[in-house]
Amino acid sequence: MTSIVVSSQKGGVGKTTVSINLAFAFARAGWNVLLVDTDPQGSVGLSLTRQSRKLLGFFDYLGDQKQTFDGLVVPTRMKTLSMIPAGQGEGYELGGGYSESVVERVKDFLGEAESRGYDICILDSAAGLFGITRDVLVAADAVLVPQQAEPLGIRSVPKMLKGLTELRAKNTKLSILGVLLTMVQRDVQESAEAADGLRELLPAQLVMKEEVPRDGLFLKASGKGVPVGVLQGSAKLLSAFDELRLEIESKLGLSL
Amino acid sequence: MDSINPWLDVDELNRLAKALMAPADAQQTKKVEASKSEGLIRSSASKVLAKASEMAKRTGVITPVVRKAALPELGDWLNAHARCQGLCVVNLDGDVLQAAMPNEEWTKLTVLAATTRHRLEEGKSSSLRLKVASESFLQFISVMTARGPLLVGLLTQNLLKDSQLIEFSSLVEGISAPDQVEK
Ligand SMILES: Nc1ncnc2c1ncn2[C@@H]1O[C@H](COP(=O)(O)OP(=O)(O)OP(=O)(O)O)[C@@H](O)[C@H]1O
Ligand SMILES: [Mg+2]
Repeated sequence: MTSIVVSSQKGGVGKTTVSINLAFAFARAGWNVLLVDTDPQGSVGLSLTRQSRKLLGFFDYLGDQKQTFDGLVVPTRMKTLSMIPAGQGEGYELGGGYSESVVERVKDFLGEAESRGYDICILDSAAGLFGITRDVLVAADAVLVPQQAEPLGIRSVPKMLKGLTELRAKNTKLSILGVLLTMVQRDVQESAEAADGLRELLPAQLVMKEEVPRDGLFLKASGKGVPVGVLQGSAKLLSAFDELRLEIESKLGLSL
Repeated sequence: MDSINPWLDVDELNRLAKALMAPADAQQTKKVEASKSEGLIRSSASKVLAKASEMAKRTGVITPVVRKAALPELGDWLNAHARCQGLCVVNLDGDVLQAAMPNEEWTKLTVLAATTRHRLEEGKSSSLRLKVASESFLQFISVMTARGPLLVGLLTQNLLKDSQLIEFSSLVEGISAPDQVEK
């Protein structure tokens, strides 16, 4: 199994949107996918199942050694896509357990997911590279970093590079998939310049070729609690995420 | 390109990108022991404050939040009410303005608390407290200053009471008032 964390220094850049739609793209392609919400605010859960606030989830597993993995999995209408919401264990991130033992528990979690036959585990995360997000990154295989294509947002890039470098000292197997430009508006000069500017500044290896356009359908999808691909008129967005999936597969050397 | 250059130091960015792409085992591994209490530096409150202020000036990241002349004042207060082992000040973007903590992890926890503040407070403005070692408590205290809201991470041997927290924040607020801040 390959675990991919969707993480960014800044909030609101599209992590949850990317997580859901990327998980959907992998699942459509036939991979057995587990989508996990590791953001204590639990937005993947809110978005995909109305009831998720009442469900147990990732934080309950972290906080309670007796909590079984199987009790957390929520199936979706798609056979190849399951999810685990954030759950009830809120505030856990600042509880007493900030230590290597949390990393070990996250590793157990990923080990259990693998043993259940999942091929891909996508983990949505809270903004920042600290706390539980850091622990998840220390345990995972790869990280994808959404970055909003706007001039001011780009300022967080050095901080993010520094943070990831520090993390890699703790997790030498962590693959950096790179920055994924999101909410790109090719028809708006500032957005296009920010996107192209970042591509010029960073080594090509650190920026995904595919980008996520800004589109009102994403908002509509998250309001309805579905991946954007199930809505009318989403063909272009669906294919953008499929290209992204292919790019990730080739970067990580994955094949079905 | 022009629109983002002013926001970034391109050389720095290149250096960071190279470091990130270098094989991970080639990097030197800095080990931070988060939970070990024996590593604690038990310095007095005023020393901790002076160090924070000095570091902030030296790195030139910010102008010191705490006026130098006011340091003894705050130091005295802390000495009288709690054994201060460390202190850091961060803004709500997670930028560390000052840090004199015996352990980097506790500064990071303060950053985490500051950037996730809306979740932690949920209506209450009382401070959050953590036991981080057998004789160390980390308390997060929000302080409204001329620079906007800041979060102070205070590492002490004894927990401060609510009334003391209020005293502490008003002391910090007082000494960071605009006309008092050193240039
Ligand atoms: N490509 C896009 N086009 C238009 N709207 C988008 C796009 N991506 C995300 N959004 C919208 O922007 C908002 C923030 O997105 P999202 O929740 O995915 O960000 P996030 O990084 O997960 O935020 P947080 O840090 O709070 O978890 C949402 O309302 C979402 O619907
Ligand atoms: Mg989110």
